[in-house]
Amino acid sequence: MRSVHVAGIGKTAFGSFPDRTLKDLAVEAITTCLKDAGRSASDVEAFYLGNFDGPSFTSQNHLAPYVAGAVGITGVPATRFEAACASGGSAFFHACQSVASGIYNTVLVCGVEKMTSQTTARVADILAGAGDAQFESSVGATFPAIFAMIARRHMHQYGTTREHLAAVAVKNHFNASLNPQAHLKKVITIEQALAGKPVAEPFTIYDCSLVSDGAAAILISSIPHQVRIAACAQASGPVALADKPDITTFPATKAAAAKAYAQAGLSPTDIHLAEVHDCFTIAELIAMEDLGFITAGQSGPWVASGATAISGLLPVNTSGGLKAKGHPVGATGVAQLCDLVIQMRGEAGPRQVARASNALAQNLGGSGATSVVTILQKS
Amino acid sequence: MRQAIVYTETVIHSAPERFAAEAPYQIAVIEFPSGTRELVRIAGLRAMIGDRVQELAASAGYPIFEVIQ
Repeated sequence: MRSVHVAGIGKTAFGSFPDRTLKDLAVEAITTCLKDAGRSASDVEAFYLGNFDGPSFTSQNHLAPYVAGAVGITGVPATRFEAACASGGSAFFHACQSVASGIYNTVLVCGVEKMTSQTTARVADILAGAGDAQFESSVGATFPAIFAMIARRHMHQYGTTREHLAAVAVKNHFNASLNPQAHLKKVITIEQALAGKPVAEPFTIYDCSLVSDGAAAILISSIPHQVRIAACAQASGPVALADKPDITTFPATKAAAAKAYAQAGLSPTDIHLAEVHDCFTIAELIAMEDLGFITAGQSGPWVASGATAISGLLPVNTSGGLKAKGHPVGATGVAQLCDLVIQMRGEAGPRQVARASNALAQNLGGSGATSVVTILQKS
Repeated sequence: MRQAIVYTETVIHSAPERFAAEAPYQIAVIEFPSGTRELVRIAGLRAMIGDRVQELAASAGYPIFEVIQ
């Protein structure tokens, strides 16, 4: 397999943009990315789009050629990937495979979601489609409810507390306040997080990521650049919560992480910073355990101790994470990688970390049915 | 009637469109003696992890259980 490199990145701000369309957001991210790479649309040999549910959110289908055509990419394969919240990561994984295997030299990956044109209740309905329609959404389960039940079990098994969950939210809100492209730039306290409006117990709104509009793009190439994709692995697991033997861990993340660490020849202690899938506060805690950064059950006290703050031992979600940077579902997996590259180039401004040679991204779909783990390394 | 133990649970305050009128309501993953699990609706008293629950005659299109006191 050939080595694969990051040739360019581009991202829109994340937020609620009533006047902007899915196409418009994707075009901005792609245009920025191609400019960053010093390349043009005619250099793109294949286009991979990550999008969860544009058809439900915007009534537009056939999205990959729809977006590609808008930036002048024609005559090449343009394909959409759907893996719930890991749609962006999955598009990226398949793009990496195609360059590593020698099929293409230059591939453009874009992730996009336009969510805020729907009501909260309708968004909850659409997102519930990432679960099991027959056995979960039919009973009235929402996506926050699925993760709330995961949190309850983690609390029951390991003594994790609501304060530990809130510590994730407080950290990510603070980090987002330093990120000009973040959806929310509001610093919060533990007390505010705990007193938020209840969503699905034990979660308040501060345990949940945001409903956002946004897009991100990344151009990958077989030609060496400053940042190399040292590893990218995807794995799957059961869709329905009731089918998992232990709901306090995501075996798909563990499997993808094991493959990625082996590919990169690195171990968890070699990682300098990470962007992980904090769709809910508990998901960031479990990611710490599944990625091997801390022993199972110990993530709560560890994160609450400040170990994953910007100035901590292992900075996690310096962008503000899905929690506060925002979570335009299909864009997330691609945006995480852009945020890591920004850190690796030393361009993160007030949220810049000291060491950023080895960086890891983890993008989770559904309640763990898809997980993508990517390791970036400075060449 | 089927009986099971509550494995995990939550009370939903922010419901999807079609269940919005019922909120707040409780759902749970329950474990049967065989070890299989199922996601169900809980009616009546609040159920906690470890509680024993029993199925109610359901007509709602999904399984409904209640706590055995």
